[in-house]
Amino acid sequence: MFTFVPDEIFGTMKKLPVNCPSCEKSLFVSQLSCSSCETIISGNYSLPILLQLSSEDQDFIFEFILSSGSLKKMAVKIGKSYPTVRNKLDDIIERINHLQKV
Amino acid sequence: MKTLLFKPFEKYSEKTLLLVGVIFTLIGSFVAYTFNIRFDGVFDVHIVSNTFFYQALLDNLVNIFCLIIFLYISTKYINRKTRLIDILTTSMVARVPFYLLPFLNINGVISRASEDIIQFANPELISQITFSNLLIITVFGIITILFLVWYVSLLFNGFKVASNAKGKVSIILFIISLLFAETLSKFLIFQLN
Repeated sequence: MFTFVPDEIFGTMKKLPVNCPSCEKSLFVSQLSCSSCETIISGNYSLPILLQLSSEDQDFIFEFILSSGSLKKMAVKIGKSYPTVRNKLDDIIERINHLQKV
Repeated sequence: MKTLLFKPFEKYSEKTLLLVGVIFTLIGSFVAYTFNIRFDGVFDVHIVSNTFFYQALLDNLVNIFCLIIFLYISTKYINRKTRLIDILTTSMVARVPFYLLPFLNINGVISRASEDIIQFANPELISQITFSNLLIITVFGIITILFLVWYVSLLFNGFKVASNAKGKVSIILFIISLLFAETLSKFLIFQLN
């Protein structure tokens, strides 16, 4: 119902997996590396809530910011009605609230 | 095309929908007046011997008003952010399929067929009903049911988009709203005539 083309916003960036493909539980960051000096940091870091959202939701938030937080402007820009865009935002808020509780 | 016919509320702005709603309400009233049809209830289409433009327009305005009242109460209960304009456009645009039905009575073909059937609606005379009239009424009935389904699906889609309704409770509220709207519209139209 609500589809963005991620490539328009994120170019050809690889999609970050947030759930385990095996058991579907949330993934953690266990390693970070510097591409310049090759330093590697190991640990157990949880992903920020925004990254735990689906790429479609992330695209929506990105577009929302680019529209200066105006749902009316955004609705015109993406060719959807105002209540459709507002409902999508409400759904994302609900998902964020759920992720914050987990 | 599917969006245009069944889910216009997801795509088009309230200004566009309001314009379409107003234009079709006027056209629908004129067509009802031309082909002697009364929309004497939210879900009613009746063929009459004579009608006036003001009657047809008043019927439609009462039906829209009744839909707005009960759908707005339900959607406000579901979601406080629901806007009146979205319920107004839903109530107006969803009725467009009904406004196409009077065209089926061009040259009074349905009126004559139904009069013929009523005339012979007696166990002794039933064999005198012509097959063509029976066919006309059957086809009219089937088309009316299909357009009624289209009308209700438009109403439900508009209701969902306006309030972000989800789950069984919203479906129950939607059905109750329609029943109340039908009852109030029948009462008001009866009182106004």
